Order: sequence, then C-alpha cells, then structure tokens
Amino acid sequence: MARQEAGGRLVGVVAAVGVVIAGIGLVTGTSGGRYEPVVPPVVARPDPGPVPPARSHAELESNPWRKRGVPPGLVAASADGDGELAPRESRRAFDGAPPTIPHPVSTGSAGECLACHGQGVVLGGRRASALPHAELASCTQCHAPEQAGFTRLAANAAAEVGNDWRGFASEGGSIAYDGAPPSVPHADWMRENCDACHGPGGRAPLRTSHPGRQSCLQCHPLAAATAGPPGP
Amino acid sequence: MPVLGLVLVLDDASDATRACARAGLSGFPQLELGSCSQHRWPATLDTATDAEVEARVEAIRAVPGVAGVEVVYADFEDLLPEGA
Amino acid sequence: MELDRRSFVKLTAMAAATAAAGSGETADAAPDPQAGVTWDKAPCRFCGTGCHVQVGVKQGRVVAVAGDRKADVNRGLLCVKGYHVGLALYGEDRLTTPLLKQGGKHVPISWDRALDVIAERILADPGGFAIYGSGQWTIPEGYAAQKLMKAGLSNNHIDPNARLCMASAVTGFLATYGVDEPAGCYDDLDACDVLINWGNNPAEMHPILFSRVIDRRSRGEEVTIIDLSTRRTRSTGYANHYLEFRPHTDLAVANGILHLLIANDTWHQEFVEQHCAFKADSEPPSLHGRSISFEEFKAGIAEWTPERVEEVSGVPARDIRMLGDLFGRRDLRITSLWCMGMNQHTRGTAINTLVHACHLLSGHFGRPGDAPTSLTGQPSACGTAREVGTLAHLLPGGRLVENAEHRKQAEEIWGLPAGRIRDKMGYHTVKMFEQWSKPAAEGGDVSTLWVQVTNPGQTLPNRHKLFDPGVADPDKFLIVSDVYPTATTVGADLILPSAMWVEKNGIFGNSERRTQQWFKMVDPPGDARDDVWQVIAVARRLHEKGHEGMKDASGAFLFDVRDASGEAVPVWDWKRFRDFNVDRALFDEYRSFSRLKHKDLAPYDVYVKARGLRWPVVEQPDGSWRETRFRFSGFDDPYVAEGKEFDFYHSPTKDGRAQIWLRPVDPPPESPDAEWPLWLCTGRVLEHWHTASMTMRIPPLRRAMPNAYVEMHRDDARSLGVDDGEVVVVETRRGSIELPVWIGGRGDPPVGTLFVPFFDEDRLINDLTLDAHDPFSKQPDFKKCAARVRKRSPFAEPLREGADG
Repeated sequence: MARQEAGGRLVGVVAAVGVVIAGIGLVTGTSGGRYEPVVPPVVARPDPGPVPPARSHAELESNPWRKRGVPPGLVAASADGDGELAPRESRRAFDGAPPTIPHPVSTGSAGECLACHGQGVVLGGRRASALPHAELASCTQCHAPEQAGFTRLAANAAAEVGNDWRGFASEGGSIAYDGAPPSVPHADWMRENCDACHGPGGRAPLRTSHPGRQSCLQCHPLAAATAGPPGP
Repeated sequence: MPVLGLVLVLDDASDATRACARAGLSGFPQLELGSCSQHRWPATLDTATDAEVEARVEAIRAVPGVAGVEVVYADFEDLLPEGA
Repeated sequence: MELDRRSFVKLTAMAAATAAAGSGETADAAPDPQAGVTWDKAPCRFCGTGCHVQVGVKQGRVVAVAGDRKADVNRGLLCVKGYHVGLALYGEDRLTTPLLKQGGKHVPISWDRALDVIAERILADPGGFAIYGSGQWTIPEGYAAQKLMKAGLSNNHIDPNARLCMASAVTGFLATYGVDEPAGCYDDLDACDVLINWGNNPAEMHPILFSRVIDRRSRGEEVTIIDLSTRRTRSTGYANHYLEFRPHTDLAVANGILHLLIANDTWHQEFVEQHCAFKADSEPPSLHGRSISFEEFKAGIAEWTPERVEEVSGVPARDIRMLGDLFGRRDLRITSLWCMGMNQHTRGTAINTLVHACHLLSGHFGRPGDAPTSLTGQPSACGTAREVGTLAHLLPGGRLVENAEHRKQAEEIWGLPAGRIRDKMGYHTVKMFEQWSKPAAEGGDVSTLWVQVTNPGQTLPNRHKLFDPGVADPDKFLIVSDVYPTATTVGADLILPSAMWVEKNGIFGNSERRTQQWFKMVDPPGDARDDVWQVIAVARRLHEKGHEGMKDASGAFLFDVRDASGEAVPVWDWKRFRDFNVDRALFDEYRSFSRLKHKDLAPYDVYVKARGLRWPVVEQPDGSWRETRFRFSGFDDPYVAEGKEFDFYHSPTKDGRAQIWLRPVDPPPESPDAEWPLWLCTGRVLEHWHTASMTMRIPPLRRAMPNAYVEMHRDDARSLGVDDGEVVVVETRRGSIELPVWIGGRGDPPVGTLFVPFFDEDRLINDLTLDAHDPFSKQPDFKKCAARVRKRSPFAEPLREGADG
C-alpha cells in the first residue's frame, strides 16, 4: 500500500460508510443455534456511482450523511442493509479467519492462485478479491476449499453433527464524533492491503468513497481492543 | 469584544494544505494563528460583537483547506457598546 | 509595562487552543463498542509443530483465533486447522456426563458412581489394569497417570499412542546419541540450504514449518528441497528434486549416501574421528548392537554402490550420486526432516539411525541448518509421552523401569518405600491390546483398560485383531475419557466426559523440545472434567477404599497438594479442584526428574510468561532462564564441556561419541504378490487431525475433506476398468472396505501403489493394515502391506499384476 501523502481535501464520507456497515450487522451466528453458514441468493443492485467528495466543512454540514442516513448514490438492499456481505461472511468462521475457497482448485503452486488473486479481478460476474496480505507460498495451508475435489459419499455420521460456534464478528468501526473517520475494527496483521476489501474492486458496503487516498491509517485509527491480540 | 480560542482542523497534514489555508486565512486580520501541529491549528479570533462571531467562524470554515473549526475558548467580558 | 487585559485574554485563548490542538486524535477517545473480547495465549491443540495461537474469548466462549505474532514457532501464521481450532469445542455432541453401559445402552450416571465403578474394577484385579494414554495428554495429565500406575499401583502397564507414532524415532535417537529428542530445533529451517524430506509430506502435515522454508524463497533466498518419497504429494510441488523409492527401500537410499561419502572420500574425517563411533547389529539383536571399527563399517557399506541402490530402490543412480555429492559438500547446510514414513516402519529404528548416520558421517550436524530432525505428529508426544516416560518401560526423565538405580531415584523423588516400583516393564501398545482382546481363559490378562485422550478403535493396525468394539467380552471393562463419541467410545463400558484444550490449564511439549503452558479460558460443557482431576479422583477413591499404594512412605496421599500456608487442598473434590493450580504443583514436582538426562525444565511460572522454552532451560546468574537451541553443540549447549565444539554427553559408549550404524536392508514382512498385487500406504491429510474426532465437527474442514478415498495411478485404474470417482473395494488379507477412487488428486502414487487416509470413522482403513512392528521400538508399520482392488460388481475380476487396459 502506497504511503504517499495525498494532497486533497478531507472528506467525511467515511462516516456514512461506517454507518452502513453498522446498520448491516454482519454477524456470524449471533442468532444462536448451529454454526452452518448459508450462502444467500445473490442480491442484484445497481452499481453505485462515484460519490462526490464534500469540498468544505460547510458542505459536509448540509450533507445528508451527517444525519447518519444512507450516502448519496448508495442504495441499501433491505432494512437491515443486506445480502451484499453475506457471501463474504459465509466463508469465514469468524472475523479474521482465512476465508474458504468457493471454487474448485487444483493443488498447484501459489502462482496459480496469484494469477487472479494477486491483483484481484472481476470476471464473468464474479469477483476474485486481491490479497489483503503479503504474498505467501502455500495458499492451501490456510485456505480450505468449500467442496472437496473428489467424490463425496453419503454423509458420515459425523456429518450430521452441528456446531454451535458463534464466531467473533466485526460491527464496523466506531466513530469518535459526527463526521469522524471510523476506526478500523480489525487488526492490520494479514490485512495490510486495505484496497483488497475497501478499494474500488471491493463489495459495495465496504468500498471506500475516497479510493484515491492511499494512506488509510493516517485517518482511520486501529481500535485496539477489537483489533486482535496485542502485537509485538 | 469576544475573544475566541479556536482549533482549525485542516483537510490533512500536508504542507500544501497548510499553505493553501494560510493564504485563505490571511484575509482575516482579526485571526491570529498559532503553531500548527499536524492538521490541527490553534488560533485566536478577536471580534467586535456577538453577532459577528458566528459569521466570522462560518467564513473561516469556508476557506479552502479548512475542514472544520472547533471553538475551545470564549471570553465575552469585554463587550464594546455597539458602534465603538 | 503591564499586559493589558485584552492581550492577556488573547494569550489565554491561544493557550487553550494550543492545548486543545495538541491533545491529539480524538477518534481513539470514543468508547469501543466491541470491547469485551479478551485474548490470551495457548499452543494449538493439533499437531506437533506447536504453533502459538491467541485465543479470543467473549462472554465465556471462544469467538476468534489469531496466530500469535510473538511466538517464535509460527510468527503470527497458522494453518487451516489452527485457524479453526476454536470450533473444536462446540460440536453439538460433546460428551457432558459419565455414561455407563447397561443393557447394551449408555446410561448417564454420576461422577461419584463412576469413580466407585473404576476403583472397584481396579481393586478386583490391580495387575490386570492398564492405561492407554496419549501424546495429546498435557504434561500434568500424563504425569498423574504415570504416578498412579507406577508409584501407586506398582503396575507398569501404561503405554501411549505415541508408540504408534514416534517410538522408532525414540529408539533411533537412543541408539545414536544415547538420549531422546532432536539436537537441533526449528531455527535450522531458517538456515538450511538443502531440505530433504524423507518419506513425509510437511506441506500438509507440518504446514507452518514447511512454509517457513518455502517463504524464504519469496525473500530471494535459495533453498533446495529434495522430496524423497513413495508417491507425489503436495510437498513435491515445491521440491527441486523428486526421488521416488520403492516402499521400505529408504534403507538402501541412506546406505547409498553413506557408501558414496566413503567412496568419494568426502566424509568428514575430523568430525568423525573426534566425535563418532561405529555400530552394527548384534546377535541376538539388541537396541545398542555391538561396536565395530571404521574398517568393518567401510567393508560393510561397500556393496551399496549407486547401481545397487538403484536396483533395490528404483531411485536412479545419478540421483543417489546427487545426494552423495550434496552430503559431501562442506559449504552447504543440510536439514533432514522426517515423520511417519520413517517411523511407522518395521525397520524404523534402523532407518532412523541411518539418517542420523548420513549427517554424522558427513559432519552435517550441530550448526544452524545442519540437522537431522524428527518431526512429531501430536502436540505433546515429546513433552508428555517421551519426557514424562508414560511408556511401559520408562520412568520420568528418561529413566528405565528395569534399571535398579533409576527405580531408586524415582522412589526417592516420589518419597516411596523402597521396592514400590515394579521392576519388570509392562505391556507395550500392541501387546497391551493383544492381551486385552484375548479372553481371560486364553491368557488375555488385561481385564480393565482405561483409554484417555486417544482413539485406538480407529488407529490400531489390524483393528479386528487388536481391538474390536463389536466383540463384547463380559469379563473385560473398557473406560474411555474423551470429548466426543468416537470409534472407541462405541465399545466402552464407561465413558467419562473430559475438558479439552482451553477448558483446562495445560502444558504441552512440541517437536523442538519446547515446553509451552496455557491457562484455562472457558468452562467445559455440562459435567465434563479435567483428565488430571479424573486420575487424582480415582487415586483418592482407591485411597479411601484402603489401597496401600496410594500412600507414600510417610503415609501421605500420593497426590497431596498444599497451598502456600501448608494447608492441604482436597483437589479430588471437584468443587475444590479450581482452588489450586494443580498443574503447577504436578509440574514443579515433575521438574526434579528432568535433570538426569539434562532435559532441565524451568519452574512453571517461567513458562507462564514465555511462548514456550526449549530445554535444557538453565538458570543464569542474573536469575533469568536461558533455553538451549542446539544440543550437544559447544556454542549453545551449557552442558558441553568448556572448549569442546561438540560433546555427546549421553553417548551409549560413554565416551562422548555419537554412533554411526551399519544396517542391512531387510525385506518387509508383507510385500505384493500375485494375489495381492498392490502396495497399500495410509496417512493423513491437511484438513483433518488424525482420527478427525475434533476436525470432522468443524464445518469448514469437514466440507473441504468429507470422506476418505483411495488414490491410485491412472494405469492401474485403466487395468481395473474403473473411473475417477467410482467406488471400489480395497482389500487385504485382514479386511475390506469400499472407497471412491481419486486419480490425479492432491497425491499421486506410482503404478502399483494405493494411498488411503485414515481420518474417516466410517471407512476404517486400519481394518486392513498390518500389525507387524519394529523389533526394538515395537512401533507398527502403517505404510506398507499388500492389497488388491476390485470393482464392486461381484462378477468382476480382481486387479491382477500385469493386466493391460
């Protein structure tokens, strides 16, 4: 991630993004019961156009986001905000777990994975997210496929057994005051590349309104308690 | 004449922004700027009347490079009679 | 001139503003709406790598897991099992109450009744009581069981599942260095130039260690990886060289390297003359064989020319020369890694000693990066089974049951009357289960068996012979302590629900001699209780029923624990168990055993603060505790005499020398023939840990790997007329199961070989495997037996050797 100073204007759009996330309530299993993430049906929505930055504090004041509503250009898919993030959610046992792989994979080298995930690609209606972490050599060490690559037999006895795990779920970053940039509700370990989820290729609720800015942590503080265990 | 202590919050901490803001703020003779740390700039504002306070602060807010103004101190004792 | 008021006010205003401007980022000052997750360290529950995790707990439940960045072993990374280890606690069928089999069904009973049942069985036949324990026991758990049996019941029938896993590595170390466990550590992986995998698949089995090596390549370092194996695996994809050998002929390959070192005169003369000696098999065979001269060694190794090795093993002579050249070079650092391929081997002790010999003869030893390193499969096979000595012939700290001096030392530390410890070794695993499975009338003298933290109903080879839960012998009584129903609890007479992982305090010891501690973070479900409590409670019940062995020489209860003021704490009373850190008491008692073999352990509280420490941990003059990374090396091991570069201070020949062994290449006990034309190899997969009793209950892991399969080469499939995905029957002389075929999957066996993973409870491949074992370690060979495959139709011909497609 480039760390150049961006000359430009402070735009308080992130408040609204944070609000949308909070509104969505991305939670794995806090409804209780068996942990069995379900892939929801795809929700079709219009692609939000670029969000115009506010040029001054005055404009920010008059901007509807300040009322913690929905940012202009973005449309909430439903009252609780969503379907958009659920597929992402369903691949993670908890916020911070390495996501499972939703497509068949050969057991080849990292090069095959990086062909799409190195930079991220949108292809045929599917999105291959870019790596949020530095390139490592053994992808399948951490990322398990969702479907085994061989014939599945009739379910084992153990396959009937559920699991009532309730994984930690991020509720979006906290905001210190109206218009403040939300804090980062997760550790930056293994998520050094913010663009992977929040950049122009990211899913709408996570996508930043100010992709031109490169130095994210300059404004968005890491919220220590939820950011994961203490670092070195 | 109310004296206000202000913190001007700039768009960002860059030199370019600070220079831009300084240029815009030079149009306010009643504004005295302190030393800027990062993107937060302490200043004091001398105004003649109450009514003026709000207008001045809005005008400062509208300066390019300034994202917001926080009023952190106000002293209203020395109010001059109107027209002085 | 006085400041006028206006100026004063302005100054005040500026001061206030400056203070406000400098008071920093207000964003952090807001209260965090997600506070409430607390994090604490623990080693991972799964493999012998011993990664450290940070466990996130909220409202009494584990909610997240992260790699611990402060841990030396894994540096913030985990594998897919480690990331999901928290889910292992929450499968819906956790055992939560003791269950007694009555009228063919398991009926809930109270703990009090369960303890009575166990005590009565033991008192009825104390010599016929046996404990089958585990490399997943924490150190205090294994130590308590060890003390109950050997110090209390004068009964040495306690053996762990590590017998099936690491026993040959142990005998290999003993025969070479006189003392168990690797001299090097994981630091060798950061420094080696060449990494040789001897019949193992670390990309799946020790992924963190493997990626530690291959990630060096991303940083621009050059590491040559040689995969020496009987089939292609995920690890092969990362290797520079793949050398395929016929099953069992790893012995020939190692001999080939030794031969070339001598023939090319590239052996390290100085190192060998100062620090090594030579051995060969004795008649009758014994662990320490007989000493031979260098000349005799040279003569014995002469037949293993590269051409001869190729003839026996199938590895091309030029590849043998390549290995010989590598070992002959002084400018390279070579690390050898091995695990089950070399240990689950009917000549496991031999091949272990031969790989050590390759490193010793060539001098590739004792410097960072030069190491023969045996990897462990279980989280505490080293820490508990091997170091605490929970084996039928061992006492804690590397002592032997059949050594009078060692018994005396143990009796002193335990405060026992002289002669309390029985002087004859107990039954090793295969023998224990033979005696369990045979009726009493036929001499099967194990009548009550307590299985803890392991699943022999799935893991014993030749399962029907050794342990068939389907055969109910009314004279025999099986007690199983576990967390989920397994292939073993199915046949249990009494099931005891146990706490797991962070539901209790614990200490593990990993593959690199690192002892690591954790604290309880959440409560166990229902009435599940710590294994260490179970053992102490049984001991107490025996004590109450008058068993003399439960007292030491002074009449005190064997598990008498006292608080700081000297008051006894009745930890056998579950309500009082958590009043006291029993782990600390047991560990600090156990520590005293660790000095004999220089495996010094630090006090418990030192491990609380660390991410594990590698023994020997030695106290420094300033009161700090220093771990040892490289044993027997003068630059790091404090027990090496001053001025010496190396000192094998436990040398079996008592002269500071390590032993280089001459070993023959014996044929395996069962090879393919006309009727059973294929090799059958078994093993593991990345997603499931061993018998998958935990990982099958973790949905992402189960979905990724839902059932077992049989890997075969496409030519064999074509001969048989089966397709990828077709379900076929795999058979050996001992049993038969149905499995789907997987061709070109993550493993690729050569023509004539099959591979089946053993994690699947519904497809028990150990019904087919062979129980033949190594003569010294008694470890069975799960990697080789003769099999055949046939289509499911009863009218199809079995696969014959040489059939064409």
